[in-house]
Amino acid sequence: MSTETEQLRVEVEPGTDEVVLLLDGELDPHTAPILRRELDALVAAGSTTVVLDMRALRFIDSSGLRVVISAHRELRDAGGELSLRSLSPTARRLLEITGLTDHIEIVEREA
Amino acid sequence: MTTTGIDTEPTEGVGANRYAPAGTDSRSDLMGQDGGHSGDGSGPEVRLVIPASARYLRLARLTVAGLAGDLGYPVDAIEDLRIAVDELCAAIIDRASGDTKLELVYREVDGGIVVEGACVATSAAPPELHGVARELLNMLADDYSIGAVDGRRTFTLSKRSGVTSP
Repeated sequence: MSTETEQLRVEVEPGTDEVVLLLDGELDPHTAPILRRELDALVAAGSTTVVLDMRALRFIDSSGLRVVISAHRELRDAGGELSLRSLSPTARRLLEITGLTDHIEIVEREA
Repeated sequence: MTTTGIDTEPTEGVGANRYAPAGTDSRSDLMGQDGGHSGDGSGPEVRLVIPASARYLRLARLTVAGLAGDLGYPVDAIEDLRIAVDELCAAIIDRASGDTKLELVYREVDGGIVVEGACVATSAAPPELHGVARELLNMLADDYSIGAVDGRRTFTLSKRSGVTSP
């Protein structure tokens, strides 16, 4: 299952323990609502452990980070967790600048 | 159908990039100020006019990345510029009406890149940066300003490459 525009594709990989969202493209004010909707749908469906796989994400700005922060809080409040996987060096740097690396689990690569 | 490529001819409201000799289009054209750009120490200038919509921010990012790449900026600095331009453009087009244009001028000044943006505002209120955006800009830009002048929301961004000449 996937949602996409010409600038971002979000592919959902349901699992038994976690749901993985594969992000391919750019996450900016135009595309961030797409990810927001996917995360909202997962939370509404009862998912509590979500992984954002960012290996194919070529850009992220504050609008994307705000979606990540919001989802992190909602999942944490529901007793779950949001983690980020395979960040680019730039994405990792943005997370460090904003202090998110202290709060959100970063996974280097798929186990 | 809209155009998302940067090298195509302008269609349906997407403005063209064009190179102009340094100094022929001064800051005063875009910002409503007397910039008095002399051209000393300056390189080519790129102008981009796009719809003031988040859909087209990608073009603003591509343009600064292309210019920075031509000027030999390292990858990290190019990424910084892409993000900084994106954040400032997003702030000034917030609540723009459907047919408003975002006007951008990119130029090399004394070995650094200066980007100026302007957009007709639907509100006299100055644009606001979200806290996360402000944090990023404070770290990624050498200098930036954002405000509202004469019914237009404007920003200026500057960043040097961080690479010193031998």
